[in-house]
Formats: sequence, C-alpha cells, structure tokens
Amino acid sequence: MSEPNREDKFVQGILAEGISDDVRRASLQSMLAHSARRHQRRRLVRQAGAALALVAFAGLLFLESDPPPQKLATNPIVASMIEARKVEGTQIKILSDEDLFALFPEQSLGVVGTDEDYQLVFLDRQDLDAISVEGANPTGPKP
Amino acid sequence: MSGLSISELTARMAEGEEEAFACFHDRYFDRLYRYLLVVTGGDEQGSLDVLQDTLLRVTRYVRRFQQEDAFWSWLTVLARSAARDRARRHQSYLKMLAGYARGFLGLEKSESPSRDADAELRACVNASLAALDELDRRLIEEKYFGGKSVKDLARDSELTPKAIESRLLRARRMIKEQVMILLDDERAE
Repeated sequence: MSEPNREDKFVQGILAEGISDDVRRASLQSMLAHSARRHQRRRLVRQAGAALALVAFAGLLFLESDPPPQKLATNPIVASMIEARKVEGTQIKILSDEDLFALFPEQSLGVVGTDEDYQLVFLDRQDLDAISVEGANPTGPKP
Repeated sequence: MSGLSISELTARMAEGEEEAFACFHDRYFDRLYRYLLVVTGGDEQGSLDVLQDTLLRVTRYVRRFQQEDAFWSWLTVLARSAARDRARRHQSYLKMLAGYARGFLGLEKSESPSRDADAELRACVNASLAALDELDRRLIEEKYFGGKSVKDLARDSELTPKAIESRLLRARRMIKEQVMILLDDERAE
C-alpha cells in the first residue's frame, strides 16, 4: 500500500468523519467474535473427527481380537445335521451314531445288534430301572 | 503487528489470530469504506452495512496472500459481492447492475479496482472544492494541501483562528455532502 499524498489524506479524512470510534470498535468486535466462533467450530469438528477415528480404530481392534464365531454347534442336533454327509444326487444323509443320538437329546437310547442288523432302542423308565438294578447286582435279576 | 507484511498478516489471519484481525481492521477499514462509498453511490449507512458483511466474509475465506495488490483485489471482490447481495435484498439489483454496466468503475476488468474508486473519489472532491466560495476553497487548499497552520491562515486572511476553524469545518461538511451527491448522481446516470 503506497503512502497517500495530501490530497488523498484530505479525502480520507473527510469521508472517515462520519464513522465514530464506537462504530469502529463494534465492527472489530463483531469481526473477532465471528472469527472466534468459526475457529471454535473448526476445532470442534476436528476433535469430533479425531474422536470418531479413534472409536473406529478401537472398534476394528475389538473385532480383530474377537474369536471367530462358533458354528451352530451349540445345538447338537443342528451341529450333527451340519456334520452329516450327504449321499450324492439324493436328499439322503448319512448319520454317525453320535449324530443319531444327538437328534434325541432328552431321551435314553442305544443302538443294539450286529453290523448287518442293528436297531435303535428307546429305553423307558422301566428299562432304565431294570438296567440299573442289573448293574447293582451283577448276578442278574431276581426271579 | 503493524509492521507485518501482507504474507505474514494474511497467514496469521488464516490461523485465526485475533491480533492479526485487529491489525487488518486497522489497515483496511477506512480504505474499504471509501471503496464501498463509490460502489454504493455515496450511501454512507449502506456502505457501513456492506463493509461489515465484507469483514465477516474476510474472516470466513481469508487465506495467505503474497502481494498486497492481490490481497486488495480479493478484498474488493468480496466487497462487491457483499454489495450485490445487499442490493438484491433491497430489490435494487438491476439498478445497480445498470450502474456497473455503464462502466462506472470497470471493476471486473480493472487490474487495480481501487485505483478507479480512488480516482472517482478525487474527481468528486475536486468538483466539490470548485463549488465552494473562493475563500473557503483557498482555506481548504492551503490548510490541507499546502500544510499551513490555522494561525498562518488567520494572519493571511485577517480572520480569527476560531473563525478559520469554523469555516474549515463548514467547508469540509459541504465537500462531503457534495461528494455523496456526486457519487449518487454518477451511479444513477
């Protein structure tokens, strides 16, 4: 900005006469307040951004450290069904003994017989009692 | 702070430094006001309103400038933009556009918009001076352009210093009023 000559100074002086010091002060205060608000907003946005990034990072870490989700193995039936092998080209599934037992978790049962011919036997209360009595007395049931 | 270069000043303003804004306000308030007086055609209150709007825009968009000319050009762009927005609000945008179109300032093409505004102001002041009566004009010229003291003027014109001060004050007011009228006329033409 070049130095104003006397003529310019005169013009400037005349035109500035209408502006009081109060007006100038108020103008500056308004400008400073506006600037402060603006920088405060910017700072808040920056802080919020940093906080969000931190939360996202922590979330990622948490997900990474979490053990892989268990298979639907909590339900043995489902688990056994999942384990079951399928006969190719059919809907038939081949179950192991364990798979079979898992289908009836609340019941007492067993597989009896030879390789060629075996049966799934459900034991009722009487059978259980008999077995337990036999177990208690190895000589066999009393007549 | 007052000795800061434009580069330092604008960089500090961009960082939001209060002192830098105060320094900027001190340096540019009057200059922008004069510029806006020309843009608004001598509307004093309007110029102050637009000036405040311009200053708020400065806080919002300020960035580092290396050259004073570039910074001033940027300020005048903000000022004109604020003036246009105000004119729109006051539904006289078309009138203002017409004023611009007549090339009152030639602002968009000018390399240094302030030069045109300052020249316009000087022309108005000279015209206003010419309209004063002979003694008042001579007193103004000798006091403000010739650097004479009130005491010297009083001795030369055989008036009391108080009478000289009174005449100078009245003459300055008349010049200011006349300048505002001329600026308004220029825009309305």
